Amino acid sequence: MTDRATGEGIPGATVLVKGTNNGVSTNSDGTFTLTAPTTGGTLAISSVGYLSIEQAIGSSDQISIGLAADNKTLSEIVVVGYGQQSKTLVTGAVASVDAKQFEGQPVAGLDQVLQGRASGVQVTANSGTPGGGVAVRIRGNNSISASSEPLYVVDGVPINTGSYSNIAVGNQQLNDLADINPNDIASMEILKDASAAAIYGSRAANGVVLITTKRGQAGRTKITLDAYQGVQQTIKRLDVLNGQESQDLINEARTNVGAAPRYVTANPTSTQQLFSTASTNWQDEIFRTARVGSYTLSASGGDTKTRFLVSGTYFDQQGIILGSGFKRGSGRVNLDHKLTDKIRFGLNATGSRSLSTRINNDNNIYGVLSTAVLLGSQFPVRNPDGTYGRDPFSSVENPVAAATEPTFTARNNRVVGNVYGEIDILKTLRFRSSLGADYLNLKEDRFVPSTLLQGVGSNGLGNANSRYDISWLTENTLSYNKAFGDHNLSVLLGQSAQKSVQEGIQTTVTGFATNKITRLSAGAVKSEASSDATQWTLLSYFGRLNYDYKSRYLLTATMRTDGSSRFGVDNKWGYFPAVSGGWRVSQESFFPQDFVISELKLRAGYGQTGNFEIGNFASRTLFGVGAANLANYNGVAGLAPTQLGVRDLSWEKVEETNAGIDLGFFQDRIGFSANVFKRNNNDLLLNRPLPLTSGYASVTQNIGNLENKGLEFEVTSQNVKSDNGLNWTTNFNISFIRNKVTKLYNNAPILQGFASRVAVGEPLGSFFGYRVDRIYQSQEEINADIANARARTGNANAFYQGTSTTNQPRPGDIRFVDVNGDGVITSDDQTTIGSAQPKFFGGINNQLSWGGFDLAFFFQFTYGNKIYNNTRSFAEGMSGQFGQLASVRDRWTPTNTDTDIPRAAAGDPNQNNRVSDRWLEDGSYLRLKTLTLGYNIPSTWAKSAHLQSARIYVGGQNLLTFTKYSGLDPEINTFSGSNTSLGTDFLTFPQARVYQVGINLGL
Amino acid sequence: MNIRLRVATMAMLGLLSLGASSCSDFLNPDPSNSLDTSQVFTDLEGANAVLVGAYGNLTSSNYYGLRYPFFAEMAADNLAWTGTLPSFGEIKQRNIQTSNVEVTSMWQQIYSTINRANNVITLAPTVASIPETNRVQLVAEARFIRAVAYFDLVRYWGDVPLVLTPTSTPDNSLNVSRSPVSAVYDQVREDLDAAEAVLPVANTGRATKWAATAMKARLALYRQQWQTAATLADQVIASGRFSLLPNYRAVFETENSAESIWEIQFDAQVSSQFAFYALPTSAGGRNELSPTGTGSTLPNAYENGDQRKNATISDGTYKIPATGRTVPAGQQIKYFDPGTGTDNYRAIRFAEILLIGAEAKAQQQDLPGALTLLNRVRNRAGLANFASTSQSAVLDAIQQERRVELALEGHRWFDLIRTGKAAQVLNVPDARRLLFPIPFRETVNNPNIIQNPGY
Repeated sequence: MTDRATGEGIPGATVLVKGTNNGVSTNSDGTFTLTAPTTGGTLAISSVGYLSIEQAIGSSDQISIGLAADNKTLSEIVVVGYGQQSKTLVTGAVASVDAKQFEGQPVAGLDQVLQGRASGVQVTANSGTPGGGVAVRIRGNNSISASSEPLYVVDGVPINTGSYSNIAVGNQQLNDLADINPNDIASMEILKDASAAAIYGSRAANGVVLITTKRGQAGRTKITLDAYQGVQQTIKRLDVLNGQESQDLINEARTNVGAAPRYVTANPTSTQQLFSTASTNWQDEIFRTARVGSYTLSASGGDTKTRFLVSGTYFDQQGIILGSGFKRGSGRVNLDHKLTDKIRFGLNATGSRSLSTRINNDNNIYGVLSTAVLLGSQFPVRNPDGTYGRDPFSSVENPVAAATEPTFTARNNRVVGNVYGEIDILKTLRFRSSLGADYLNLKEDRFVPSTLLQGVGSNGLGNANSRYDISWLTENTLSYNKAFGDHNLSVLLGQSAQKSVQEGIQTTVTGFATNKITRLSAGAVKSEASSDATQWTLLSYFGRLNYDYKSRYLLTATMRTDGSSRFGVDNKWGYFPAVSGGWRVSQESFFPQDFVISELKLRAGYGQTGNFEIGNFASRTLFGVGAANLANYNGVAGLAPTQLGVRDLSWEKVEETNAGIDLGFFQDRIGFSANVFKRNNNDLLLNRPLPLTSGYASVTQNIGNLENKGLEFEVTSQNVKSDNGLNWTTNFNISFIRNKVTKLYNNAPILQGFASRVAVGEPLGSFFGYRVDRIYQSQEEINADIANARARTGNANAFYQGTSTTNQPRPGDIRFVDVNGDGVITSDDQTTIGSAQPKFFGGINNQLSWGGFDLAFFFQFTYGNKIYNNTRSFAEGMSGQFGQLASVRDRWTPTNTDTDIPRAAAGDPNQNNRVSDRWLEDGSYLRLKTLTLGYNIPSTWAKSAHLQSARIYVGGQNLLTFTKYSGLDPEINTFSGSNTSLGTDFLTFPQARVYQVGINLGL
Repeated sequence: MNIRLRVATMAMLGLLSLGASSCSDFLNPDPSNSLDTSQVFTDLEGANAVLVGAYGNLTSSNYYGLRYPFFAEMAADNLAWTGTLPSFGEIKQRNIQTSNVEVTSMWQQIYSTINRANNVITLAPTVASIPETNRVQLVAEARFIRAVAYFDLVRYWGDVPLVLTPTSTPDNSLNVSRSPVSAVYDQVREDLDAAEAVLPVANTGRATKWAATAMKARLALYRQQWQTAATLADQVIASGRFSLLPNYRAVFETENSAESIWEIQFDAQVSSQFAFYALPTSAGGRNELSPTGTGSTLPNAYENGDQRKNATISDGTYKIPATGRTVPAGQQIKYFDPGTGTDNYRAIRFAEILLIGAEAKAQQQDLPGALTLLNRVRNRAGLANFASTSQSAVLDAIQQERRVELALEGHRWFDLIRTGKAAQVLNVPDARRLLFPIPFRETVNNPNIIQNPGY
């Protein structure tokens, strides 16, 4: 068996005597031996990546078969909900990411596989936290209060995502997607539009990501080892003031407001200190060059009856910030067995155990990076007496202490899998039943010793929490496939039931006997001990009809109905229909053959989906218990009204219309695909703010609408193609998505995050605040503004900015814009100052091969989005004891007036640091996300080492970043997972630059 | 149920539900950590529990657990802002943005408390199985809490919406407009009268007859009903149930002492945040607030020989009993458990009643009567009698005495405003800034709310 083009043997191809079970797989050199009937018969030959053929056996003892490579990308099979379909016949917007696109590259997680590879899919790592959260948005942000994360389905099992942590460490959360091993993935299909996703009904509003794991192929058992090791480094560090500058600045800020200087040369008072000679760059103390490594061993193979794959991976990543890390060990078994021609059963299962070593982060005065930025450089790492250097006039922890002293681990045990059975009742009718489960158990242990500020007051503080979630799923489907002449019909009917139960135990203990025993038994004061449980259920029925005429006219219709425990008694059931059609113009007889255009398909679809990602009992009016609800008093437990519910609470309803075109040029060497969509999210599950006078902050109701519309383009091109020389393919995608809130309750805007606001007519992620006009250069300018304010308002005591003589601006302070023109600055002068939504985003992926060499590089870009850099509002604020960025060297002083940085002022009486466009920056970037250069060792050499194949490579991640953003990393969001507070940086763990070397060995 | 059985159940359910429609149990599980509202006011136990929840809300750090009392010190001149939270800074500088999170949280917490109390007041009487005596006390305690909450709202915000029924549906009836201060005060008085009539004379940490009387005295003082205030103060004094502890410091080291009329209870599970916010990091706090620093003149407010100074502010030798850590000089020590937050909040104590009586009598020209009460407080602090025949001098002395006697207990801002001295003492030219802003989100979500002028 050879490749028709190269003449090389094709290993692992399936050779079957047609109509029998009699078959084998080809050996590594492409040879095979098969006992066939002496006369007649036909061999059916198939191999991944080649066109299947049939060949008569004839009478010769030897038979040579050449297979032609299958270059028609459009003829691939894609996985769709509850089945698969030829890509040619797909009528919805489905993006497919094949393992080939990332195989042989060192990827750490699922997010890296998804990122930038499909149009309309925006993947943002919330931070560089090892094992941390990512935000995946398919066609924009689709909700305000409910989740916007897509549904992930691994081999048919919808999995739990998100964080189960019960310990607040700042904003960066755990991420349960990190339990999925990217090395197991064979392909991912992203169901983007409602017509494709509606088969998943009430969970499909944010799109669906179908993950198919690798399976064994009949033939020789293949053993592979994939391993890499790498080092990670910071991409960038912030330039900060040195110790002397830091102290001078604080003195200047205090003197500017009439306070005594903080640092003196002699006789300090109780609110003063002697000048320190220390000058510590805290970032240098807590950032490190960190290891990362991944080792995967897998075996797969089988015969015509049984196929198997077993694999194991160990992944170990230190964080580039001291004290952080993530390790994961995982194993997988996939089995398929054919009992008879008509009955098959099998198993998919993965188990993993991960260990996150966590650190306090982001908006947290005990966070490691937070303190490294906010503790002034005038303090030493350690004092001469060995204690940690700290600022007695601030609450900021010593960064090295924050990183090294606490114990903080989260161990996650996870099993995801299912067993299935299939029976062909008739040749055209198949019944399939499966039972799946997703089980996770998170154990968190924390100990804060009394050597840390956080533990000083309580003499040590410890938590031990345990939480498990088990989700059961049964599915039964009946599928019917039949061709009636040129009419092809397939019908699917199905039913599923799912139940998810979560239970947790939380304990907090303080007052430890010693810092040497970190378990809670060493503590005296039990300040919390509680357990909780919750659950949800989902019962569903669904069906799909696919019809085509000569593969020319295509029609798909689906329907699903879901009943969920999460919704009100008056609205338990939702119905989610969808229909889509396609016309393959290129199949028409009038379409010229051998034309430049080899494939032309027009598609259009409409569908309805839902979003049920809200609390489990959000429709109920509830009374809660426990100290967390402030229900207890003086040692007596009580009840407290905690939630107002409405009985008709229902699904968030999404309607989407999609139209697309797929084009193939030059025998499909160039593929082009475009989609235009409009998605209306109606009856949003909105946590509608209530007047606080009601005693409740909000109620979850179906109120509000938003819309996303967009254009997506994808180009796949085999730029250079040769049989033996250079091959070069490029995938390019770009998306333009416009998001707009169209209705809210009373159309009242909702403030979110630090600077974000949800308002009708604006996209989610809009920033709201004051606008900086200029820096006041003279008292006359200020007086003129005050005089004008008094004239305009008729109030003789009015001021332009500030409320009293003590908080009046001085020269060097910022003058804000009087947006509404009433002569005074009030809260009404806040306005929309920008948006975190990009104008466009996308990726470009190149794969080249030449001889034994291969090169892949992948750029990702986003353009036109703003980032609210809240880090600067503290680290350029010049108002207190915080460490400051070097940029404040250019602050306004009477002798340095040509600047946009205001004067230093302790306590910030003019509120120069208020939320304003001063902190808003361009977040556009172009990033060389991955680059891999590999070399396949010639097979003759490999064979001498008893290897089938051997490849070595070097790779890198985040090697180049082009951005104007001044922060550590433009690819962040401190409000991880938020729909509404997007693009905000606040002392957030940045991504690392990674250099890797690796091997792929085949045995 | 063991796992195997559960699997079997699920599988059967999955298979059978194709044809069956009896899935309502499957789709209607009950919550495990909460009770549906229909299961709460069904018996005495449920009603009692909701009342406990109403008290529980008082312990919030957004209410008596930290913010309410401490902001009354920080917005005035008894606490400096030394920390990192800009939202605290706005209050210190009396330049509060309407979206200030601290102001919003306090408002929210107080109204949440009112809703909890309203639940008891309205729904406990509907439960037939609750005996009369229990029902009366349940409602009386809840009315006391409601009265205190409305009193507290008026003191920071002026006119406020008056909500007297529990919230049950999210409709437009929630858009309540603001009632004038006098109407809110009338409701406070009515609630306190009703509570006073039936509450027990003692009940640690909870509403009592004497707490209601004392609160009425404070209310009369704020309303400048001097005669009423004097009478009520005299009633409390004459009850003989309360006395000044011989040693001022002991007031804060003894929980529920003879001086305490109403004391909010905190423990390791339900903790207060005073010490954590107002102690430096070396003592286990977060250094957010301090009596020493820009904007606080408290350390200089004490007369020579006043024992209260070293009992309130560390001289550098004070050691926290629980951890043995020294509190640096200049830091407050009325609250001294930053780790587990067991410091109680003295909401009303006998010394305040003496000073209310003194002020009310002085206002009515009963200067000897006023001085007698004032000097009881002074003498306990180791100070000599104050003597004067000038009404204004006596009134000034009483205000000075209130400042140092009740320092860090949540009175200073209100006293300055009540006596008309805030603008001058705190240098606030725009008197409209003596009221806090109505939270921005409230003005957005309730079309009937009008913002305080000047914001």
